[in-house]
Amino acid sequence: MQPQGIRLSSKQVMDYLSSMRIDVVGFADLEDLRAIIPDSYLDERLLHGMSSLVVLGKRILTGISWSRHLRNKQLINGASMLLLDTASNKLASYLESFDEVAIPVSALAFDFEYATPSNVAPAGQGSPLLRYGAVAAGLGTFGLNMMVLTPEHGPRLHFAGVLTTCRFPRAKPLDRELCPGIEACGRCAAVCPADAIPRKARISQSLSDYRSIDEEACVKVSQPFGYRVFQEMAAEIASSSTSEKLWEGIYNRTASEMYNEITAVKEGVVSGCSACMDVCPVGANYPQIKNSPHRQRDLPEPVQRVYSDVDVEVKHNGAYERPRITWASWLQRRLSKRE
Amino acid sequence: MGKLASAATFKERIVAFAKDVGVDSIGFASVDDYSSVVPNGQRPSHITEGMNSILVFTKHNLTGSMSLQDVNTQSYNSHLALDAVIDITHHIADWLESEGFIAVPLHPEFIDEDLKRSGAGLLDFKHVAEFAGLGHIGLNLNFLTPDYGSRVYIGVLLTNAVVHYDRRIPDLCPGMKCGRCAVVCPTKAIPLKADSDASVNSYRDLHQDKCSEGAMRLSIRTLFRVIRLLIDSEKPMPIQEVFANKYWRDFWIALNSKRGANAACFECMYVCPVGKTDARTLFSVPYRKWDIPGGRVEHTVADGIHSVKHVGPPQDRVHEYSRHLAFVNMNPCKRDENEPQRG
Repeated sequence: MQPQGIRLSSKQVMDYLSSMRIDVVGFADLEDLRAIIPDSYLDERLLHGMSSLVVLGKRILTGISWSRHLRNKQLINGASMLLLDTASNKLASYLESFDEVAIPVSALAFDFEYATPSNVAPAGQGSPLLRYGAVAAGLGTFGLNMMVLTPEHGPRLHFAGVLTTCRFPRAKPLDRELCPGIEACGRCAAVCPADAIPRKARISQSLSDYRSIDEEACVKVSQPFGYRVFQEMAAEIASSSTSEKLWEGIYNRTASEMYNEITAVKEGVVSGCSACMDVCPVGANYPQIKNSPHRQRDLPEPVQRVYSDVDVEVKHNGAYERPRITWASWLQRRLSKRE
Repeated sequence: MGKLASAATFKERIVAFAKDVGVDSIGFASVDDYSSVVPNGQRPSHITEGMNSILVFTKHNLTGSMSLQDVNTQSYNSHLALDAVIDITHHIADWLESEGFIAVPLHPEFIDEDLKRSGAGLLDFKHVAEFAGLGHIGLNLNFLTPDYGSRVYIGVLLTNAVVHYDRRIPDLCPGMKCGRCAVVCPTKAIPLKADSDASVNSYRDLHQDKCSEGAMRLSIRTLFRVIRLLIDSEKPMPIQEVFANKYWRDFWIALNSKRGANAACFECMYVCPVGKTDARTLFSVPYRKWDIPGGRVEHTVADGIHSVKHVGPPQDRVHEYSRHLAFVNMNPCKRDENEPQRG
């Protein structure tokens, strides 16, 4: 028998989504979500009148985590996000066929009004609403870099969602941290090309006290030709004082990569770097991934830590396959002149 | 059941699944065997190490799309076909991984400027498809399949699964004996003459820069060219007139919906006579009969050289390939020698 006020069961929703290649489904009651999400990420314009957030997760193919070519990984992850958006749209229609009200929440839900594109960092896993929703739905816990780690896939998945008036049985959050933290792991922090993940904590400090992400640093590599680069490039062009400087600002590899990004990469605009995802030992598919010759080169030696009387710090390695086209050389020159 | 029999059965399962999700044809090649014949950096190892097999498939462009008079709608449909290729590639990879293997889909639209300054695909999908026995690379380096001629797109993924590999099939393109694609090309990018005794495999070619004038006429390269024209203008250009040009509309749509961004010319595809499933239907469409006047190519064989006479696209389509050149015409001191014409 359905609990009172619930017209559609979780199983019906999961059965509906199973044919759409969605790997993970969770149901977050909005009261539970409001209890854990920081106010800065809480947008009542979206949540007003809704009861639940259905969180959809699509795993990153093991082959993509295994492989080397960053831009191919970026594009294929984009295809995955498009699949999520299609599924969430269909689910919203399905829910409304049961006289509920539903709104899809895109895997690429950028908020330019109250936030910046950096709020889908790290690595474009999903907006804060979706990630906190996943945690509230009991799908996983936050890792060192504020990605959601799941038992089945680690952090190697993307999220989309559907806000709805439909109510579902309240989920229980996971009762244990999945992320081992800096002292027992710290691999994501060691490899991050942007050094955007905390590498230092007090000895024995609780993970929940120090996990975070430097979003602006992350997007330098995870959105290699995203809005920030577009903005910088447009400003550079607009401030050109001669026609040759104007031409130099336009006719360069960054412009052609930007064009490729807009026309072909599209949804993959946020998934330009997945170094942290690739090295995370959490998840049932990690034993397969770690056999990749490329993953073995990420951290050929165990993560090194330096201890003081009170702190522990992970040594930064950077990624072995560093994103090659993060900054155009002209942009680097101009940034270095400003500093 | 021996390993060989098991492999044959699994291959049949992959083929059945792939056909179920929408592929027209599917083939398999060994990563090692293919890598040994690749002359440049477009090898599987550029994407990843540790895989054993290349799975390659084709998806045809709708006959309805190819029948249309409207090039712009065809451009849009071609991108829908490519979107389908991407989704199918991902779907097959997903399935392979559910069977316990590892699969790496390759994106068909990514242009790698590390491989080549003007951009190159991650693998040369046409050569992979020919190697895996799906068809033949023709006179203009388009890939021809027995069923749909050159009116196909190709999808590829790498996997650690091992199956029986496929072999090349006999050549499909008659080369200069046909020459239909060469005579209609708006930008004369396809060879118009060859040694009359030579195999098409020795002279098949495409002048990529010229082809991109038509096929990528709304791409970043055209934008660079237009901007350079505007910068170099000998006198101030009338701004309102410049931005009223339909080129900017086409460019905006290309950014918005990919229409025409990488595929905006299909002249060679309209006229390819190969394709036992679609060619007869396509050529029965009245509008398609106008592509080559009288339906015949003018051949000349003299002094051991076989040549065909270029005619270009029909007059009602010439403007499609020269819209961006209107900026040149605003400045009569500059003319473009590559302007497509029917002559």
